[in-house]
Amino acid sequence: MLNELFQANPISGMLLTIGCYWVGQMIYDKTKWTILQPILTSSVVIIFFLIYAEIPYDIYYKQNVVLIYILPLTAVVLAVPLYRNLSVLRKHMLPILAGITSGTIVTMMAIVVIGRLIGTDKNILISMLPKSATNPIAIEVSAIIGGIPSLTVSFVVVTGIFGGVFGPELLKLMRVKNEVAKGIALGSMSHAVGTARAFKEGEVEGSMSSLAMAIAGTLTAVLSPIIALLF
Amino acid sequence: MILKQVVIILSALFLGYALSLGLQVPIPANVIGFAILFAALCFGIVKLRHVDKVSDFIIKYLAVFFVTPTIGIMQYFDLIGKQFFSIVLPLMLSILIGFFTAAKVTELCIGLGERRRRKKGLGGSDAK
Repeated sequence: MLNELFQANPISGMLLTIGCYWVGQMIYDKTKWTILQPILTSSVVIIFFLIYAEIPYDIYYKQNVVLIYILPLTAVVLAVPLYRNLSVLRKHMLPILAGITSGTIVTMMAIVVIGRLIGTDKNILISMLPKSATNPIAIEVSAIIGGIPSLTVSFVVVTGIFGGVFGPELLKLMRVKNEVAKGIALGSMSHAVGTARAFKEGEVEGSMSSLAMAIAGTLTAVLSPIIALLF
Repeated sequence: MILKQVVIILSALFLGYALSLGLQVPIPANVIGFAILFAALCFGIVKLRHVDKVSDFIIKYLAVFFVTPTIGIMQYFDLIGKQFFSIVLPLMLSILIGFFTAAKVTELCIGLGERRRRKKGLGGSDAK
């Protein structure tokens, strides 16, 4: 019954997505609790609803293609905040590049080392390698290095949400105070979700994060095939 | 005005796809589109006020566009449940280590650069 009603309207899925996000945003604005990031709360609610109503993911996905088509555009418009903060980038060019490069290489090596140590399945680890890149990049990289692209999407999303929800708190625990460094870590590790959170922290954090996301994504695309040779 | 902004942004993405197809590089088209729009802004070909409204709108609601791919994780609940620790351990630890490295290296280099600049400043005044 619920399933039929859902499918009768071709964009019920989009209503569900934006509706849940809106409610999630309102709850977040009221409570200001870090853990209640709208992307997390809305995702949990939607997953429970889909399971309860027995609606397969494919159908929900098809009803959200309008949003999916805009995804590549989200990477392009990040040029605007970056341009606004060009002076910060110029001033800290070397530290920024050093931070992104070291972070990207270390996180991929950590997957290889830890995964092999505890004997994780090789295909899962390969699918995990591009996890810190933004989704459109990660999907393509995963296919190139022999991973399972749709599994990679899940890892990318978990990485993004983890960094987006806990990133700024983690950085505080690690005693990182510099705004540029915070943005670089968020963007290079947790791509667009981390960047969305970084913008809530501040304009410098946000624009550094979007810059880091672009560079880290590109680096991941170049380095993943090399690191995948270690398997 | 909004339409003009949309056209410029879509064109940057279109050029990104065109270049990605032509150059055969392993860099995704949207990253090239990002670079094109950034370069256009830097060289003054596109003014900030020609793209800012639409860009700010999309950036403000960035996370909305990632909800749908997030839900895709429900397809892998079985796999993740069966191999929970061998998936979660490398994933979480690598994120933590990566966060730490990226932030600390950036912060350290900025600190070093500022110290060197300060020393240079002192040296200069000494020479005088």
